[in-house]
Amino acid sequence: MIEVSGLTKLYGDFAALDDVSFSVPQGEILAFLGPNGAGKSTTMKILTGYLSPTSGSATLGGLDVTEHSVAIRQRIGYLPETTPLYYDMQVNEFLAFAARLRKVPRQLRQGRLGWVADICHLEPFWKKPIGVLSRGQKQRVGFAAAILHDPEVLILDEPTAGLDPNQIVDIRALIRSFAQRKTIILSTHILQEVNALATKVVIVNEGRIVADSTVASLCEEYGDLEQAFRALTTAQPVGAGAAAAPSGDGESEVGHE
Amino acid sequence: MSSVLTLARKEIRQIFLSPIAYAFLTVFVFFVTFMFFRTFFLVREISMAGFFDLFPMVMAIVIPGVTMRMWAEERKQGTIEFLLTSPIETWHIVVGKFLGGLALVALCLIITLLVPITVGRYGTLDTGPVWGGYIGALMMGGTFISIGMFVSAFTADQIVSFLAGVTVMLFLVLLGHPFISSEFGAGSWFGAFARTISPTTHFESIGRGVIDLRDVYYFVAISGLFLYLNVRVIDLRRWK
Repeated sequence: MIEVSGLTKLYGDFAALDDVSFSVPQGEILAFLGPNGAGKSTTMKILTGYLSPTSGSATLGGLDVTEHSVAIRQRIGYLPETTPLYYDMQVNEFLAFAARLRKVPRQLRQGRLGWVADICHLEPFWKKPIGVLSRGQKQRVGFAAAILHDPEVLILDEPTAGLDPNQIVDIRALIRSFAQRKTIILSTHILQEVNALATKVVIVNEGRIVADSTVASLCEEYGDLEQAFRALTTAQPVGAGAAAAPSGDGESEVGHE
Repeated sequence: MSSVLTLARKEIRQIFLSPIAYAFLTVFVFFVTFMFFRTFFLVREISMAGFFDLFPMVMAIVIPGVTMRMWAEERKQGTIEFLLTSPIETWHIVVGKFLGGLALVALCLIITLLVPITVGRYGTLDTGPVWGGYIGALMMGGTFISIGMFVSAFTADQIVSFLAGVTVMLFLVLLGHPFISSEFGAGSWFGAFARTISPTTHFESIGRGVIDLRDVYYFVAISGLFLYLNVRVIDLRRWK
């Protein structure tokens, strides 16, 4: 379904992505792991057409994401890391706006809005301005906007970041409910989440792929996911490893200025 | 096309939800009305010429107040990522925003129709120049919106966006001032050039009540040019 090959993204001299290749078969959930700044968000932004790659290509259902960007975006539901929402709009207004932009046919629109309100539990704050909602509620609105047009592919950038345990369970249940019907790429720092949701795992570090495997085989090789993550993302010569970890928030800063 | 209208509606909503729109409306309407009537009752001439003379300068100062947030706000709130990853072309977003801004300018102009209506009660007003003035004002408003939006696309800071917009527009307006285009550059290539590129000259020409296609073409071309450049600037950000 999704084929990424040789994807490279340079910011000046800095390679946010360096020759990244992986693929996601239809109907799979791929967990996309890596330290902050490793290139997870950059990859997702390229797939969704927000950024263009410096070189390399990515295809979705056989269509190139740069050449057929608008058609690709119609088939993707994307939840960015920052959950961008219009804070001055009410939840229902924002989702109606999103439904029109995603070209949900007029006769289906009301039904779809009711559907997302139901499965994302939006009724209690359906007519509230988005600005007054809690982080978890905003996240559910963002998730609702991503699935409104019933896309084949979901790209979720840290969908559970900053949520409390109850909210995490909610979002996770939502993702699982889509697992049967959609191809999903999910980035996260919560490794139990990977166990709970994904079968395939790709780990990136400093813009390069360091593992492309399954949860089962990584656990077999390293004991558990946490040890696999530690081993694969800090495995540099002594001294360099310490510098890699706090390179920190570079990713999100580079991603949207 | 329906995406353009959806985006225009969203823009209009956001414009009217922010206090800036009302500040803009108030300043524009009060300023042009007050300045005009201040002299109207002294001169006692049934003419709107003094009224429209104010428009280029006033619009150059207030329109950046509307356009300053158009891209700056989307970038600051991160919602530009929502728009640019929606299945729509970049030009849909640009034209939607443009139409939203134009709607506000149109509303301001409609409110100021009270001025010619009032003047008409004191005598017979020649309506040709009034219509010309309003058509010219709408076209000049559109041109200023497209310039202001283009400037706004470069920064996430609204103040910078506003000041840069005012600077560019005032510069263009002043190029058409008689002092620059006639006295200073009389007969020279510079005077002719200044008259050609300044919106003031074209606005005054339409305001005489005779609509010359060259003036219409000027406003349409400049608006189109800046809307096109706006699309390019937004798309280039993807390659950054």
